[in-house]
Amino acid sequence: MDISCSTGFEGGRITLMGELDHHASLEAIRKAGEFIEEFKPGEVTVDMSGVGFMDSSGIAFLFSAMRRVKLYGGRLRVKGLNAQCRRILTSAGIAGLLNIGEERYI
Amino acid sequence: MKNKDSVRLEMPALSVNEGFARVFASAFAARLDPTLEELADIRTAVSEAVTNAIVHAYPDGVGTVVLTARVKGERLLEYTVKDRGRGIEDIPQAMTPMFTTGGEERSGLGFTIMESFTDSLKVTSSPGKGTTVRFCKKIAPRL
Repeated sequence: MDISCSTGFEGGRITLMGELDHHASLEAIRKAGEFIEEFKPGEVTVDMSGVGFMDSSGIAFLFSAMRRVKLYGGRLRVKGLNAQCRRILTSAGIAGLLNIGEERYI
Repeated sequence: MKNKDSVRLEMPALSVNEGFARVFASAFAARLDPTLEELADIRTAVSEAVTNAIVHAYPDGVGTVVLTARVKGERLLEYTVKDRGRGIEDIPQAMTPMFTTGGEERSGLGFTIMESFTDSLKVTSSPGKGTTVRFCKKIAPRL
């Protein structure tokens, strides 16, 4: 999995490419955590349009990023979920909790 | 093996093997011509079961995880993920949504997702001897 983090006028952006399983999520949680804690962007967008597959490890990644962003009052936005990723969140019963939509802040 | 139409993958309990296990499972399923959604369901359930074994079974080393796939009925696939690790003392608790002993990297939703993505799921375990996760997935006939 490739993970890149950047900041700009619109806030922070975390872009994931590949398959977000347990193996990949370990590195993703670490990199995203370091990025959020260093720059503390008010709004963070997680772009998952390049993620073709995720399991519950992807949920752990999103929860981890959300917790870190909320620690300083920021917001997390999830963008580009494909049907399989969206179904993971729905099946786990947390789509509402995360307020996942086309582009939503969580 | 009792059933001739089955395959077996034995792998070290290392997270790097999760992706290979998914490929193995979906390659076997291809013989029943599943839809993309059915294939995604199988990949997801296998990923969860194999990851559970990798994360929880062998806290003091790297053991072995065995993934078996077989055609059980005309349109029914059965997958089994077996380890010989420390086992689960309380299976209902382990299957409770959001329960995890895995820390920040785990969500505690693996079994919940497995149940949602399969047609049946059975977990058996003996503390100190290992755990077996078995699930079935029906493949709808293609018109």
